[in-house]
Amino acid sequence: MDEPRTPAVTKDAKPPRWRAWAPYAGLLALVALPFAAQALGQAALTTLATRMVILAIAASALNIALGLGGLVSFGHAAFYGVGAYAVGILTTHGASGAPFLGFIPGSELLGVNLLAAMLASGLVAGAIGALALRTSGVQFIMITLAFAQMLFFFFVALKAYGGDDGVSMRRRNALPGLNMRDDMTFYFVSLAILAVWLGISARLFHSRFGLLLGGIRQSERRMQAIGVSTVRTRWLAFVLSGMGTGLAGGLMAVFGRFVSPDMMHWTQSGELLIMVVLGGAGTIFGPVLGAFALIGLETLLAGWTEHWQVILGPALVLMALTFRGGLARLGRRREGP
Amino acid sequence: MALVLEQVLNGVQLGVMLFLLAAGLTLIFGIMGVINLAHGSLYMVGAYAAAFVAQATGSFLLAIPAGLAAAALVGMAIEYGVVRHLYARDHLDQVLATFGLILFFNQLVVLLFGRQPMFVQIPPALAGAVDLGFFSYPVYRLCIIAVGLATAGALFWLIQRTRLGMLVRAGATHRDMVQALGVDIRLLYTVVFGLGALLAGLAGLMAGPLLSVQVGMGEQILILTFVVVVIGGLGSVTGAFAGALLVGVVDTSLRAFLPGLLRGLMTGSEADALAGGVSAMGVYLLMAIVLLVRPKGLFPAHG
Amino acid sequence: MSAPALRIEALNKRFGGLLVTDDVTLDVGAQEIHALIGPNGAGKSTLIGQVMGEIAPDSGRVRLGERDLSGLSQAARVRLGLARTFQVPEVLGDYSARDNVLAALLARGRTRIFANPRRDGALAVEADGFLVRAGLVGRGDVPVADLAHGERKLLELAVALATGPRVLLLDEPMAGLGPNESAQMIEVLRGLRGDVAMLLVEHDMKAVFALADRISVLVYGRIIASGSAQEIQADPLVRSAYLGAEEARC
Repeated sequence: MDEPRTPAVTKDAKPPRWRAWAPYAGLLALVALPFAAQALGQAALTTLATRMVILAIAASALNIALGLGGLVSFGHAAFYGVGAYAVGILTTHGASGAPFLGFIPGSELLGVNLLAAMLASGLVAGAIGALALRTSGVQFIMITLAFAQMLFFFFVALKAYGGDDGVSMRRRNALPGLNMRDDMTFYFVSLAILAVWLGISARLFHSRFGLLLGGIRQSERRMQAIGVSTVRTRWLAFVLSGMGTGLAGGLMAVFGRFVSPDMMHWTQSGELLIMVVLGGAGTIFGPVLGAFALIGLETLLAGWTEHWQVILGPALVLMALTFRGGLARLGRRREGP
Repeated sequence: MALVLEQVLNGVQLGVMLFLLAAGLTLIFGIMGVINLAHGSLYMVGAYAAAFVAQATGSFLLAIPAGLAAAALVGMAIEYGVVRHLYARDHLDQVLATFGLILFFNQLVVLLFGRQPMFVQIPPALAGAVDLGFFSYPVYRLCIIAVGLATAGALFWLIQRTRLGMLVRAGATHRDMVQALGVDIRLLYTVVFGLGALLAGLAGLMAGPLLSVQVGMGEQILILTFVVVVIGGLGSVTGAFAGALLVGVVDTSLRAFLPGLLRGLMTGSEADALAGGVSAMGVYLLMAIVLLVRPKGLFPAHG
Repeated sequence: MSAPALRIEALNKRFGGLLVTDDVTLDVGAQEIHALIGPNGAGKSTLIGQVMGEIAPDSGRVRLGERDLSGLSQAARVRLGLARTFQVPEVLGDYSARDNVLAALLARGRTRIFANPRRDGALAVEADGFLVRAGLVGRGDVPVADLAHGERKLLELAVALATGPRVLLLDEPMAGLGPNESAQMIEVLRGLRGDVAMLLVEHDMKAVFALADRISVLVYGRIIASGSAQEIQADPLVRSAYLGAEEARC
């Protein structure tokens, strides 16, 4: 066979060995973390890690829209918040016994409430997506941001559920057989949910849907020309992404036993975006790395100075200007031109 | 009737402020293809610089050039230091970098001025109200409307009638051609960015005496400006003008009249709560309707 | 003679004041290669856009076989058997050549929702088959970013074939190709003759004369002549309009 200008990349594309082991090493470290924290007498570390794990789910969910679909959503805090409110509202009604809206029974069960969180955020994402996906590029960014802000105002005005002050829950949602009040137990439940979510999202990335969605990101015109309904595929990606983010929001609400409109503040959308890009958009583990790195960095800086954003801000600028590909692509061959 | 007219004027006043921000935002996007989230920070910089000078000297006349200069200089510094390197990048990088700038500027303002809002007196010459026949209206607000409309007129003149405007219009669609004409496109970009910053600073310094000058004021109005730009059509200054007035009047009217209307239908406290929610969401719903009917906005810039 | 595979009937399209498609009527036989030539700006790409459903015509209709395509989405038209290539190749730059073809196969809905299509051996064999038909032997694993321009043109052809078309709309397949690459493209297209009807929009007259059964000439959105290669070459109207337009362009 004559191969005049076969580039070398196909042969040496094999990543270094450590890359194959990195996810397992990471998982091991995550499992060991709370025990180490306990041994060191740093129980707060487990709480911090739980937050990281939950936000990792949110970032990973955003990654479906952003990394795979190329949809720069600056409004994912809305789905995060809606998921949280779904849990908060159902839990309140579950505790009081009065049904929500007069016919939806409340619940204090984790499984039920998280499903409800996904359903609610999926519905909201479906509506926002249907409108926002009529545009693209910068308009899409502005519109997602604007609709998230609209929901923020909605919940601020929602006096029945605390308005500005939000909703506090008396106890964490229950998972039969487990003592959810124990922070270490809750950490492992969160970690398990993250693992399941990552498993599903890996399957999704490598499925027919993932391959087509990735194709739409690269060339919408090409995909239309082979008969793909690009708007519908994008919309589906946006809804799935919103549902995952809502799941994370719901879990965070259970963890902190508290929901407030601040969860859908626009800066939360920005932070989720940063996690994905910092870790590596379009990769499976990147958003997880990004969530850990960003929350870790914020915690470190905040321990050092009250005005940590003066440092974080320029660091982000520098990241956007110079850092390509994200943490998860370290040690991997550069993709594309 | 007088009340309605007064609220319409309030809406126009909010509208011209939004226009000053939206015009800069849409020009910067139209010409350089950059989305600048830190545009609200320039508004804040203008407001703080003016408030600081006004408090230090007691003179609003000195505060005006201070606010304008601070915003323009910071704007050009941002262009030179950060945004210039983002022209060829995708929108995601632009969003992240300018998001970083917002965090920086907000926290910097906290460092310099603290978290307490600053209050600026309306300059004595503009205090009081003027009698408009069957109702009286604050002089200062009328001044804002006048300044805003005059600025809008000057901006349209600049874009339609001058060489700079010609370059600006050409640069948006034929970047290479403008460069081939021997125009220093980098300088042109810096100037346009500075102009956008100047307009934002103008809005900020005028807002000072009406609102409290505080951290986060930039983002509040920035998101509303996004709504204006989406409604008007991205890249179109005419659209920014129409969208800004529309959003200003709709937002103000909903807040003013909805509680009264709803109180006729239900009890007072419920009506107030519902009206508060709906009026806060009103302009966003307006945006949703525009998107349904005309996804590219009322005045799409190119085709 | 069998019924035409594609019929364009009295199609009109106006952009602002400009009539870009002026009462165009045209058909492509089931086994035929019908070339459409004309100077730049004659409205050839716009015509392809209207046939595919990317651009809505102001009036007139397009039929695929007996089926009227009016109002159908692009996706529906592809499913009925229309496919196209682009003047400037539209390929998926982050994917391998095989994945580009795979996308077209998957668009036809040929796999379970959660299965990994890249691990499906039968699908890969099928995809490679289309690559081979387009003259890309052994290039399946190469990232598109590393393909030469000529190879991308061939890849577009493979992708179009993978959608299972009855009619192929080729938008200047020779554009930007060197002499050797052109010869290869002509060879590949000749190999497809009879399997799929083709509307060949092309500037390269050598390719047109080598391939076309029939030639139509489009000038300012209007078909001014239609016939065999000899008839077109002899047509005085074509000579003046076409050559005149070519000169005016320079």
